[in-house]
Amino acid sequence: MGAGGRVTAPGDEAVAVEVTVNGRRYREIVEPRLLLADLLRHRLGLTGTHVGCEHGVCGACTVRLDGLAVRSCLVFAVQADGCEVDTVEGLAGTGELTDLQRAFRAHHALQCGFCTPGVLMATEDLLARGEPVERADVERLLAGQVCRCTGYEPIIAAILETAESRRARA
Amino acid sequence: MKPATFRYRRPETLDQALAELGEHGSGASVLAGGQSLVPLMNQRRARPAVLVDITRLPGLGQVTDAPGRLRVGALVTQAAFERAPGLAGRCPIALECLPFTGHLATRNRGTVGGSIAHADPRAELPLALLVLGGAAEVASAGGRRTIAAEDLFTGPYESALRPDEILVATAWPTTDELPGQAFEEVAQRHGDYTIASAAVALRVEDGVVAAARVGVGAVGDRPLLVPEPGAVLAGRVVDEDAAEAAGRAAADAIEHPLADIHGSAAYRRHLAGVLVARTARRAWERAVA
Repeated sequence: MGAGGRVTAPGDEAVAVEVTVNGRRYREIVEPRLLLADLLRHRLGLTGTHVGCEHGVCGACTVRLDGLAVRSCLVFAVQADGCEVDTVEGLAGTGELTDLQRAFRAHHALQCGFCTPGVLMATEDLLARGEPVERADVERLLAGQVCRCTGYEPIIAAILETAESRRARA
Repeated sequence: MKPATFRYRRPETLDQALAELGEHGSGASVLAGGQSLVPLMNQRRARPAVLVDITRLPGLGQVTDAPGRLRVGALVTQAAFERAPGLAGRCPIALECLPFTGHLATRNRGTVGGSIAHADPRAELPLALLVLGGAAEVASAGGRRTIAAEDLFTGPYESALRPDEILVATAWPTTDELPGQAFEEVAQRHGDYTIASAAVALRVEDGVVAAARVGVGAVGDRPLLVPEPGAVLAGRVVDEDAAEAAGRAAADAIEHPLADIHGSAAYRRHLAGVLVARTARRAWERAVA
């Protein structure tokens, strides 16, 4: 049975979960062991959230849960019951890239793109705090987001530029 | 990998949660932030039959400023603790250790209580609580008890909590007792598993150290409180020589340093001594400032 499959295993009980993803409400019946990452990808078809290590190290699956960046491989779908989830698909929901996404393109801050959704969602949490963002803050953030292509420098540049322009506008 | 199957319980009161634990015993695991438990479950190194999700229990999510201590509800996230008003003045060791605790996204979800109960010998919060001489407040169907941090950590990922107990709060002594505090650690990348860490809390009277508590992490099977460097510092001004002597005393006191691919026993012992020296100096500077 696939990760998004229905319950058949002994001792398991299906549970109902109601979750709002990118502003749209979903109601699903899930196995308790279904991870939020797999709910998003396999049930809701939101494959923008990538799954790398499945134990919280790589950060690729980072989404925002009630506004806070979390590893969606370390949250059971049932725990998101009643919560709001934002995924990378929601960033350019209107079809227009966000300033952060445009900065990523301008700085070539992605190559294969596998880590990018997680980096974007984690960054949006950092920037949402409204505090000044120093290079060291970005480096610490990226210690939790593994990228094997860019060497991180273009990502740091894109994030710092966006942080600066948002503060200038605020 | 994906976790094995389990039955999921989300009690709405502490009594219900305790009843679940009483019923299922060691077959049940308590789920709070899940930032340590869920990775273990995903790797199938943990396979609880029943998962008791306590994240919706009321009353466990506050930091309360009491005389001489901060009472931190079990469900206060590491990120929320880091932003608790006045933490820099009341409990600087906690403020200094939290940025080392995982990453922004894991601190958003990982709880203070969960980190203490998980008793990872490399974790920051257990070492900080131990050095401050804090305590855990635990509940079972039979009542409540307080476990001093010295008695709490009993081995790698082992604590004095019984399977039918839930940690409901931790008590963090504030700077009234030991105002000079510092924490430091070394890891390969920021937020990765600790190779060695050190924490110092001290009080200065009449221009010399009157009391000092020193601890080291990731070098033993649990966070270690080492009395030897405290004895070295007592009655002295913590200059470079005193700090280095304290560091050597700490390194010598570590009986069986942990060794793994991230660091040999000899390297960890050396590092622990260096970090004790650095934190002793910083704690002193803060105490006399």
